[in-house]
Amino acid sequence: MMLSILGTQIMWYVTRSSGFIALLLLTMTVVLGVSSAQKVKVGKIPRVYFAELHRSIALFALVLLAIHIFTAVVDPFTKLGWTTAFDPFGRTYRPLYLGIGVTAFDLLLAILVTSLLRDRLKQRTWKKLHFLSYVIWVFAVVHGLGTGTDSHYSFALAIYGVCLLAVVISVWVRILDSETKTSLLRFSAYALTLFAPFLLVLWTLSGPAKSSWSKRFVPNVSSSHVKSVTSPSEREAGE
Amino acid sequence: MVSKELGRGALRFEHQLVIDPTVCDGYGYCVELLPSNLIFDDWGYPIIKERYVDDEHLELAYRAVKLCPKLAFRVNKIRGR
Repeated sequence: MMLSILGTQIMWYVTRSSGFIALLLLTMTVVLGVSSAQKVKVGKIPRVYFAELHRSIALFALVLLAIHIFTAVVDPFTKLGWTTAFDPFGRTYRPLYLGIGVTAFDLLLAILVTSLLRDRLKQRTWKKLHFLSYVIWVFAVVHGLGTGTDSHYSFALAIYGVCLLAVVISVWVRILDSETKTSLLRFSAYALTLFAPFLLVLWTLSGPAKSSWSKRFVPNVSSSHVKSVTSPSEREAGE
Repeated sequence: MVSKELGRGALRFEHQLVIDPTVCDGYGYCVELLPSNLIFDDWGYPIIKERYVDDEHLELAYRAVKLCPKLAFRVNKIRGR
């Protein structure tokens, strides 16, 4: 009994921390990718270093995500099966926000595969798919805030805030710098990058930033052995 | 440059750089990786100084193929003279 509690807690700790690190790495990947596309030059550092860094950090993020997903699935409290890793629907544990996270992971795999096979695709196809990275990043943030039991802590909110600022600033620089004169595209990009972070902050303040958020979710599983194990999230949120 | 002599009758290969100038956007990764073969022009686009890649620079050349954002940079492997 004691061991199983310890076990679930360890799994949950690893899931949470690897999730945070994965988000930080994804943020770095996005910022590096955007600035590489902008041909940003920092002092005398060759630009190719940033391109290499973009690749390696993206792969590192995938490793962290593998750990994140593994520990989440193995955690007996969440009652997730192995299909959870790829199938975004029909979860018992926080279905919506978990589904968003799984969707982000699936899209990330699509980007990984198309990037590895880039020389077999049209450059424009690859590039269009690569634009999904922004969606993936937003999904990752929403998944983290929505699923995480830490979301109301100031350290967690600080991490999300830093990530949001970093991505928003680099995207704004990219739009300001862009040669695209298609006014509609420019305008919608501006509108989106102003509106989306605003919505995200509003939603965070109204939901995940409140300590009651993590208490609202109780998995609808009636198996007795699950009941006997106190969930780490309940323990944190309650008592 | 012609690869090392391997003995009589052995196949020799040369590795030749090819840049598609209509696709190149001047990211400059290839020039930064292969300064022995490429130089920048005044607008930051690559100019091929030496078309044949030494064996010691081959890995860097394939790195540049992988990293070129526009897929404008290639290495062709051809039968040696």
